[in-house]
Amino acid sequence: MPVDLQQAIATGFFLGLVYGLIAVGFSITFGVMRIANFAHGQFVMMGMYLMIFLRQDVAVPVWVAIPVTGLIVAVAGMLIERVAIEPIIRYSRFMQMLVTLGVLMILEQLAAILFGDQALGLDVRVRAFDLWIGSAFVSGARVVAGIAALAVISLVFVALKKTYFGRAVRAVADSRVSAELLGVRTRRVNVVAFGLGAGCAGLAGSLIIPFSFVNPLVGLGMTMKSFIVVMVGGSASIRRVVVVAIALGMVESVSGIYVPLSIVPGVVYAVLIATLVVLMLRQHRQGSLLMLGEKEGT
Amino acid sequence: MKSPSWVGRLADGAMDLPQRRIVLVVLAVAAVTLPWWGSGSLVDVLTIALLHGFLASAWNIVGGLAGQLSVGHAGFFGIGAYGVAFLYARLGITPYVGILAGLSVAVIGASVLGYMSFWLPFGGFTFLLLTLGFAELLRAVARTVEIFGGAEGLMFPFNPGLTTLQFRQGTPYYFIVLGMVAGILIITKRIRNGSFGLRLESIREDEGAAVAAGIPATRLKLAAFVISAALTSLGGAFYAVLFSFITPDKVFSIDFSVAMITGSLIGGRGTVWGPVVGGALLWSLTEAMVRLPLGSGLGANIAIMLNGLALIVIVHRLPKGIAPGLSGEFVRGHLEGGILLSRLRAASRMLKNSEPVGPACDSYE
Repeated sequence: MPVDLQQAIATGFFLGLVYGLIAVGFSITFGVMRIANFAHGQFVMMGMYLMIFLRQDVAVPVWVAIPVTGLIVAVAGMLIERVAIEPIIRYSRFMQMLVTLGVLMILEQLAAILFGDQALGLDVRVRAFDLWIGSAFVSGARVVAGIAALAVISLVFVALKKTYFGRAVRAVADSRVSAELLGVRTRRVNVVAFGLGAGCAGLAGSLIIPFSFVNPLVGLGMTMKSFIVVMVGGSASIRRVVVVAIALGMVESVSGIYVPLSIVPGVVYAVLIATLVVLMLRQHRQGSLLMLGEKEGT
Repeated sequence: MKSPSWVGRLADGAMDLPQRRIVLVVLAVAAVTLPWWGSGSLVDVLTIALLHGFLASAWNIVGGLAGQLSVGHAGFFGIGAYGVAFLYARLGITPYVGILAGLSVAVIGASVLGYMSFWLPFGGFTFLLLTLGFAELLRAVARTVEIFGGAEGLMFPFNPGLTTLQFRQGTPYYFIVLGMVAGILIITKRIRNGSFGLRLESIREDEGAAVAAGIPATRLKLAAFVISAALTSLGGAFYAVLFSFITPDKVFSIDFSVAMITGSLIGGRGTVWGPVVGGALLWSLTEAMVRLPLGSGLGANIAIMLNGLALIVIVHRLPKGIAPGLSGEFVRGHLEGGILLSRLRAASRMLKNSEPVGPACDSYE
């Protein structure tokens, strides 16, 4: 195997783990509220900008800045849920998607006003975690990002399985009406689930910024990617979401070798279409996005 | 039943009143004679405003009448613009051929995209995702491929004449766009009042029931999408000849798609006149914001932000736009497809009134 291919697969793996975190956030929001949140990628963008702001303007240490970023984005997500999403939770899907599209526009332009249109980056080096896999080199920041993402995903996984809140979330995702009848406070579950989803995205943004760049337009691409992952992997299983996300990260970084960088989103798009067609042909729909969406009880 | 004001009745395309006739005639005469009594800049401004009204109206055919949320109309707009610009700037072929080329590519693109998204069993999400990705993909391609001008876009020489569709004054452009708006109003009205529109409406209101009633939902949605895309590409072609300069970031941007959506929603989704008025209004407001002396590009950012805010506020507070909002209950019943349909809907609401229904639920679910 050529060196650059090995390199791309190794970096793609760690990138994919971070995508996994973003997609898990998306699928929690979707599973609980049945809302395809098109503003989800904007939370990633928000995390990236916040990280830069905290590091460069406030000079907070990295290990503090990452969780703080996640928390702030989670709170912002809750606010947005309360103001914009909660009133339309019973509206048609068309209207819900329009609202999240509006949120997307607002956050995008807010970022453009506050930080400008140019691409920004952040230099964080974690030499201690630099990794050689064969002849492929993975920088410490990527390794830390991948491991942290995996840790947070596991945490979310355990929280959903073991805690009372997790049971409530799964109950609401399964059937909102039954959960309500059994005394689950669904409005509160909505808010917390949305905040959790946003927090995951914000955290991922703060992890990803050392080896990528941010401009006001990155959010849209992130939404697309998390959508693709959840659509292919299904929102029912976190494990499958993570596997698909890793695959996507690898596809993206491998295709970066062979085609110009600005075409890579196109490759991702082509992969989406191909996967959808294959899924369709195999009638392999259990647990996929719309299977959950279709049995709307609410 | 409230008795609506005649202004309100006017806003609804399906009404037929003497006042409406008179006002329409006055409006039409004013619009046609505008170049002789209005100033040149008014003509220029109205040209672009009407172009945006046209675009919102084109989106309305698939988004409003058929109820399918497309976020990729900038893609078709860009195809139309690039059809003209590429053939003219690179090969020197007259824009007439470019218009047809853009139209054909848009029709083919819409057919493939629509066939895939309506055929795949993933509901509305696929359509939105595929259309969104479509515009972004085209933008990436146009930015990368050198022959399409790359990120700088294409600029073409100014040779006034009928064969190049370029004019020294704004008046001919104004008449072209006026004709386009008149055309799309007629098309929308014909679709909406005919059986095609009624079937599209039944798909929008309840697709499962429509399919059960024997309506070929996939085919009709596809038809609406293709018509809408073709008209949008015409708008793009007009944009290209009007400005003689296009960039991929401008014509393929999602902001453009969202502006079409918001314009259509402000005016009144699924109505005949609403989107034209809403699109023109939205563009005028946006342009006024952009012109505000706020420093580099801040006005534009705020304008797009307010566009997003408008989207949220309209869905929350005014889901039917301003057209029926003027006129109260009577016209609203009319808008939803006549007395029979509203009776049916009332009956079905009585049957399933165990659940609270949001203000938009009763009409758009």
